Amino acid sequence: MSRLSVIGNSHVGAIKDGWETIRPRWPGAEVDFFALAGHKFDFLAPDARRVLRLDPVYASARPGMVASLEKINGRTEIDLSGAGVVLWVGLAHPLAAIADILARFDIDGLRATGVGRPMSPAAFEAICDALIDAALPGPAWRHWGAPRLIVLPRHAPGATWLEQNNAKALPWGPLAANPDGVAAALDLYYRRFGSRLAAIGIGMFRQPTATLTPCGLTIGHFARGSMRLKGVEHPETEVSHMNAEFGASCLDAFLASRAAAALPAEALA
Amino acid sequence: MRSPYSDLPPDAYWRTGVAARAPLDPGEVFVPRFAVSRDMNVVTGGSCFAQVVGRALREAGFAVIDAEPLSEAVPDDVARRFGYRIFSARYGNIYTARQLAQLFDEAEGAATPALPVWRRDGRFFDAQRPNVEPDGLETEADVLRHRTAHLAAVRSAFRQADLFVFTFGLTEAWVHAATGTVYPTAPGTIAGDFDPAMFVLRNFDAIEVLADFERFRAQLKAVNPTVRFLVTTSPVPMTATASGAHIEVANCYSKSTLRAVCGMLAARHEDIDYFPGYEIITSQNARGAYYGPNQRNISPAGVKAAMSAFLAAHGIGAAAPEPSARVKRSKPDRARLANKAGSRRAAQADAEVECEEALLEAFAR
Repeated sequence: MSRLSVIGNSHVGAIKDGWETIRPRWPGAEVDFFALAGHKFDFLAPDARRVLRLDPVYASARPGMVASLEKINGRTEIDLSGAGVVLWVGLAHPLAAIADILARFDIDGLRATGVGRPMSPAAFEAICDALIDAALPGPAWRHWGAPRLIVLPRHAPGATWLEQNNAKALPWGPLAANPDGVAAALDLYYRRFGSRLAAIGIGMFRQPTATLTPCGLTIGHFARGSMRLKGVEHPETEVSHMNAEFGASCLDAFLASRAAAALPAEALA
Repeated sequence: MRSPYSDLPPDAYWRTGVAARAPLDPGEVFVPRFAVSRDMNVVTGGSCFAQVVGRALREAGFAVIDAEPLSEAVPDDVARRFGYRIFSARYGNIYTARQLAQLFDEAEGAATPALPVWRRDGRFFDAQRPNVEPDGLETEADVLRHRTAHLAAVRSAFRQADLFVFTFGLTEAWVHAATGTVYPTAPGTIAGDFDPAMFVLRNFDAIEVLADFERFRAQLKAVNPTVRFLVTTSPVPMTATASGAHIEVANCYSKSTLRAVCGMLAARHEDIDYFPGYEIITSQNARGAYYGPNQRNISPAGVKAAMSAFLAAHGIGAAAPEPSARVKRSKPDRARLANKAGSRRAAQADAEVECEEALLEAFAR
């Protein structure tokens, strides 16, 4: 039976927790999870048989990473070949850089705040493309054919970030103060992201717009009570990781979307 | 018997100053008139070679103002394609002293160029910097709005400058006959249409170039009294001439004129220094090694030789002490932006310069 395999970094945690809350709504769905926190996930790569694991030579030199895989997943590899769809959660992408540009420039036809620095749509699109290209998955992830690989890009940080004295949140301040056109500009960014992923045989599913504030951050309450992969709650100031409610929203929307079309009809019933 | 030439230092004689020098040794051709330091706010402008000078100064850790900055995450090739990170503002190449003076006047609200917007294929281009938006903008109003913002950045950068570095590039320019407005490119190369009844070629002489720069200097000092100037002559030959002369003859006239003006400026004004990058690159001692295969582009070795001589004369090491902190942002951005791209920019030091003039070659085919 075809299944949905959810893989990725620590952001898989919210999806997994969310799945537990919506599982009754998807009685035919078979979903499994495989994750490794942070940049460690980048050391995993699928082989030609679609088995996702650490490179054996690397694994022998990093027993701690193998132990983390075992502790989090109860296994050290996952065979993705039997999945109908693989959903890769948490792929890093240059959203912060895009926010910085939107904070400092007005984009012709998209955003006009009177900031005094106009940017042409052509320049904005070229910048989006260049930044996206640097974030695209490597060759081992491209043009799979089967199973279908879909990326759920890393969600936007929680809006509670704005209440914290955090320099990295600075670009979002002007966007929150004047969100006109932000959604349109981010739509354009994600469309181009999706197009460039499609060109290498990867689908994209974006975080539901219902989880976003007008300035493009994730609604604050989704960041409260998020859990680490190892089952410990994040601190209250956490804005990067989302909770089970967010994960449920994403997975519900995903299963209801055409992106999951490679799953059998009964799974989506 | 004594002669005024009998007691001079070795570098006063061709044999000891040049012929006996090791090949590619630029010699001590530059004795600075005044010190420059990395904490000076530097504005760069001029022709294609000025891009190279600006980049070398940034990489050496000078606080080169960037009044129209982009996020450091944006790769240099994309930024430069749209005119960012080339000079202190997105003005593109300023080939003539007349164009520089005109830009300053416009930025200060003292002049309005004629025919500011050119068209091509239904798109609209800023006639004074047609290359910064390669595909043009959607409407004429967009161009004018972008230009207004750009001029504010120019005004801010020029007024903040402690050191204004300018490379003289050309004497030939296309001018709107009725008003005298000068353009960086001939109408019809990047955009616009060439109407011989409307546009005329001017080949400025030394007196005109001198007057244009002196007018610019006086007006800039009126709003920025402490600014000083470093002038150079571009060693990059002309791509094409419309003067009717052979290109080598026209180029020699142009460079001679500009070099003469640099000398006159330095002789007449204590706040102007001349850096002999032209002499270093074109020296017989270099045996042409500082030019690329097309005998026009300056090779990386040439850039390094010239800029090393500049830095050494100022007692400054070539490597920036803290490259990540040295790109000078216009005031609103300085506190917000961390420059993390020093190494990336250094890695792209050999990137092509953005040269509208080179387009003339394409039109010759």
